Order: sequence, then C-alpha cells, then structure tokens
Amino acid sequence: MSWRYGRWTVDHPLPVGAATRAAEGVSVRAGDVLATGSTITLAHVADGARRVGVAARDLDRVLRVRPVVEVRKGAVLARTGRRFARAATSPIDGRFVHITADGDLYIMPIVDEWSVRSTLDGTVVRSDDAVVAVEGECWALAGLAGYGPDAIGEIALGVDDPDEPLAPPRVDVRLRGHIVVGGSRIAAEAITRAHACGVAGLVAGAAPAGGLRTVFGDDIDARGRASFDDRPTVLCLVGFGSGPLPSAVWDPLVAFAGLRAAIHTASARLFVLAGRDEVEVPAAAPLLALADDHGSVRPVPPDARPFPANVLPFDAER
Amino acid sequence: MREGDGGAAGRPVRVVILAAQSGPLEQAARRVVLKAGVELVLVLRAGDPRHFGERAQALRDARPDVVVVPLADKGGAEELVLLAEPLRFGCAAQSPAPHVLLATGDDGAIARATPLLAPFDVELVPDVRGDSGRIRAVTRLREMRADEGGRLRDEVLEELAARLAAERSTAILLVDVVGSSTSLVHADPAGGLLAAHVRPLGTGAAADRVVARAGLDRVRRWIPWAVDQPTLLEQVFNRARWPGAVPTDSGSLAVEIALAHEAIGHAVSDALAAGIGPQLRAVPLVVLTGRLAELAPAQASLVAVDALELPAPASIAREQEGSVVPLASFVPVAPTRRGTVRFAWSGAPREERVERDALYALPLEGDVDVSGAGVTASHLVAGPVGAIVDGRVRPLSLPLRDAERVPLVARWYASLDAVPRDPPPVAQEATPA
Repeated sequence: MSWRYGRWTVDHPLPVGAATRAAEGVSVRAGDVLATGSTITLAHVADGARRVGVAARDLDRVLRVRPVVEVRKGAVLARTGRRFARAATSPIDGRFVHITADGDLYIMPIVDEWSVRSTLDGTVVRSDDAVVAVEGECWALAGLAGYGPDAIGEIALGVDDPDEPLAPPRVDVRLRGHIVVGGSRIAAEAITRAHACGVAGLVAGAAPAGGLRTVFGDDIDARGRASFDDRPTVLCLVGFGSGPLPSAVWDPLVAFAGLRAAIHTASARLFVLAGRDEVEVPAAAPLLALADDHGSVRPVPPDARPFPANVLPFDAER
Repeated sequence: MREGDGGAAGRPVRVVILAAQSGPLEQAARRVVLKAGVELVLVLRAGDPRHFGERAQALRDARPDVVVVPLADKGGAEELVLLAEPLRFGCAAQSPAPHVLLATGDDGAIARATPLLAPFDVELVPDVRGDSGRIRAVTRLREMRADEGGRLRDEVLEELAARLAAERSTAILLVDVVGSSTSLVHADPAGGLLAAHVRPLGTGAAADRVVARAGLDRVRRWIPWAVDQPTLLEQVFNRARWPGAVPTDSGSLAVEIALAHEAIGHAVSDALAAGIGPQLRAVPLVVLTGRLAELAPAQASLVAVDALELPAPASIAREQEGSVVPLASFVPVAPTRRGTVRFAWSGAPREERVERDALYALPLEGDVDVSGAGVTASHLVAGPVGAIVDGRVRPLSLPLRDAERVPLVARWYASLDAVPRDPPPVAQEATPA
C-alpha cells in the first residue's frame, strides 16, 4: 500500500539549546511552533559551586534560576549567606543553559533563534530537550529520502502528468507557501528557483543526486538529511535520477491538491491533513523497478510477467 | 559465503569515542570498535577545535548507542571534562540514553570520571590496551549487536579464517565485502586473530557511505570507461536504497567493482588508524568471500590486488562452501629496475623480464614457486586467472584527467580479462515481497 490513513506519531528532533517547548497534552496544528531556542555558540563559564561555597551536588539548593532561562549581565544565578553573601553572577547578557558536573554554570550569548514547527494536527505526546513528538490522524505517504527542514503548506500540482519532470518555469511566486508536486524529477534549477520563490517544499518521484548535492552539500547521502536552516525542502518518493510516479501514488496526490499537507524530512513522509473519506486508494502497493544501469526507477505494470530483475513494491522496507 | 549465509549482520550499534587522551589509547579503542563490528560515528578529542555548543550538537546528531571512554590515568580524566559536558548537554535527554563503557584500570581516573558521566549508565571495563580489556569491551559491544540466538556474520568469518589458517598452517587474510559491511580478518596458525569489520561500508546498502567517505572521484577512477559524476552518483544512491539489488548490465557491474575497491581501501585505512594495517596485509594467502567471491575470478583478483596493495607475493582464492578455491597467484615486482621473475611449476619453468608499470597474467595453474630479483621467494597456488605479474609503482597513482586515466585503467582490466560485461538476464516470475 502506498497511501495510508491512520494515527501517526511524529518525532520532531530539536537542536541543542531549546528554550521553550510545547507541553505534553497540548493540542497543536501543523505549522504551530513546538519549540524555540538559540544557536549555542561559545560558552561563558561562571564559577558556581566553588563561588558560593557549596559542593557541586548541593548547588541546586542555592540556585536562583534554573536552565534554560535568559539572564542579564550581573544577574544572580546562585547565592548563599545572608549578611556576608556569596553569589555567582552571569558574566554576560545571554541564556543560562547548563550546569556542569563540577557545579560551574554555562551562559551563552543569544546569536540567532530557531524554531521547530509541528507537521501534524494532533496532541503533543512527548516533550523533552531532545524531541517533541506529536500524535495525530491523517493520510501519509512514506517516501524514500527527505532533505532540508520540515515544510507545511497547501498541495499544488507543478506538472500535469506523473511522467513529467518539474520544469523551472512552472515555479513562480504564486506558489509561495505551497508544497509543489513535481512528476518524475525535480532538477536543481527547479529546487533553487522554488526556494527563491518561497515555495514551502517539493515532492516528486526522484531528484538528481548531483543536484541534491549542489543544493544540500557534498556530504549528503541517500538516506536524506533533515536540517533546521534556511534551505529548500525536497522529498524523493521512489528514487534518484528519474522516477515516474505510479498512478496509485499520483492519483491521490491530484485529489489532495489544495489541501493542507506537511513534509517531515527526518522520516521522509508526506502527511496530508485530510479526512479518511477524501480519496480511495488501492489496497495493493504498486511495483517499482530499478533500471538496468541503476540510474533511475520506473513503475512496473502489475500484469508484467516475467518481472525484470530488481523489482520491489512501493512499501518495501528500504 | 554469500551475504546472509552463515551469520546475521546484527543490530546496528552507533558508537562514539571520547578520546581525552589520544595516541595508543585512542588506537586501542579504535581496534575494539573495528573488532566488534559496530558503527563508529564520531571520535571527539579533547583538542577538538569546535566550541562547546558545536560539540554538543555533533554528539546529539550522532545519536550514540554506546560511548567508549578510554582513560589511562587521572590526568586523562581531567581532560575528559571538555568532552563529558558536551555529552551531558547534547545527549542527556536522548531516549534511550547512551550506554557508557569507561575503559580504564586506574582508580584515580575512575573516581574522577564517574561523576562527570553521572547521568548515563556507566559500565567499567579494564584498560583496552590490554587483552582483557579489549576482549571484554568487544564482547560487550557484540552482545548489544546480537539478535536473540543468532550468530553474527563477523564471528562466522573469524571462525572460518582461524580454521583455514590452522588447516593450511599459514597466515591468511579473509576479505569480505557485502552490501553494508567490509571485513578484513587476519588469522595465523598459532591462533592469533586481527579483525576489522567496518560498517556501514559496502557495495549495497552502504554504497552511498563509500562515496561519502572516499569521494565520488575516487570511486569513479576504478571504472574502465568514462562515466560522468551525476550519473554515477544516481547509480550509487539508487543502489544504496534498493535492498538486494543485483548488477544487470556492465555499467552497474563496473560500479559494484569500483565500490568494492574503495570499500576495501577504506577498511585498510581504518585498520591502519587502529595500528593493525601492516600485519593485515603481510600474508601468503588472501581468501575472498561475500560479493567479491561472486565476481568473475579475474575481476575479484584485480580488486584484491589493487585495493589491498599487497607488499609480497600471495595466493588469491575465494571461499566456496567452507573450502578454498584458488583464483590467482600475485607476484609484485619492485619497479625500480627491470626485474626478472622465475616461475617453477608443473609445466616448463618460465623466466619473465618485467618492465616497470607492467601488469599481466601468465597462464599457470596449480602450485607455483616464484623467485627472482626484486621478488620475495614464495610458494603460491594459481587458479584460472593464472599468475598475475605486477610491476606497477605502489601506491598506485591514477591520473585525474579521464583522457589519461581511463585508457590506463582499461588496460589493467583488459590485461587480466576482467572488463565488466553484461551479466546474463535475470527475471523473476513471482510477485516481489
């Protein structure tokens, strides 16, 4: 099966240094901010336990503030004594983020802020410094590899046919904020143009691996690369190079046009926030074949016999 | 032994080494990781130029299952502060939290390091520079990899290597390349065993990791015709995400051969970084298994010769159902002058004058004794490929320009009759699962 309607739990990994997080049990919509923080750079260390004259394990008792919190230069972080007080203070304006095992206090300057947004309508079921997980019901299509940050927007078709590559001229500013569906291939030119036009994300059968390297860096691999920075979002559904979409995948995409959707790059899934009865999908997963030179992927008609070598169902464990 | 025969790949275990004290201690930790067959995702040293936040982010991105902390003394434990705090900041909230193997025999180091690693589950093992510490750490890591009741492929390979070395009373090097791992196992008749199981690094699911490590040009250079980079990259990426993909034309077969070259080369590099490289390669018999053993004999031999860069004459064979099948004998000739090699075998003795940069195969089969100027006198066994005489300068240096490199590499393939050709068509009737 390609498209599935169900209850999904999606982990949203956080960078280090989260300052705020949605609490467990809170209802969120796709696109809502789940967590914010700042990029952690050089740490300024303030003497903590030694300064206030307590053992490191007792420092928690005398802390005036606890990580993670914004502090001003000179703000008291920990204090002991009354008449002859001993205090640990912040050496800079910044964010108090960490207490070391030896009882020292790490304060970071706030250089830039990041935020992580939900890719589902649902409820927060886990929230800690590493991950905020959201559970919700919707349609999902498991792709092969996602690159870039998560993306949320309405689905728009960028091609008329599943065999057609997304031509750069088809992408313009009218598609700002949309998730654009390409057909068999999205070239690097289309990816960068879409990003410049404010397109939220791109979904297609395949993208050229060389083009992905150009956009996302030479160190990417075939397993995708989720990131938090300002980059395009690309979801490859069947392979690399060229990959026309089977009709069992394409037809529901056409039916979903105009509906809210999200690309979760870490799990390479496209979520469509629509009701169960919005479309009908075939029960059997379409078959895919790897080209003889391994340079592309194509759909295989279900009645093709004998099958060529290297045939897999769309939903195979890859 | 094909992929999937005889042993399981096991669960992937991601390992980070916190190398507060580099040098022999870090090498020993790397040897543990290589022998255990776990994935080394990050080595963080005390002198790492990144600041606290970047170290913490690198550790969070690494998502380690196990953190190995080798320490020699309390001084090392003091340095550990620079690494333990980023670990606490980056991974304390990870679920499940990483397991820490603290490898030291020094009481002062234990007393200082334990509170630094406090939020994590810390297990103490002896110093990994000693046999007891190394064995204990390897055993522990392999326990984490093992599926219930299943044997790991790495263990099966080591047993096979030890058995073959004992049966033949000679040191052997077993080279195994499969989809997601590359193994080098050196066994001697006295029972000594050195092993490097590198994963993910292979010709299938880890093909993209070979490119990530080696670079696309280093993979491309082994293909005996011109291939543009984008095309090759797509072939590699698709292969990495297509479980069980088999080569169906000469192009995909050439990519597999090129990937095998670099996978073995990088496994050797890892072994060198762990201080076990030279011993691995100094063997009279090389046995190939996995995907290498499934290649045509000349192709498998050429991969072994070029990727291992054997310093002395050796027999090359492949493993087939537990026994050794000879493929070729390999005779490297010192290229500083015209070398003369004498071959004594069951046929008429031969004497070959070997030119610098020459590479060719003599049609000899069976037991062969080689000797001559610039050649270590050896007894070898040749197979269908014959005796490969190699006068090329080592290490091999391939020109960057296609116009210079492709004819050179094509000549090497042609001289051993190893040029990839279209394999017979493969078709299946059953619906794929």
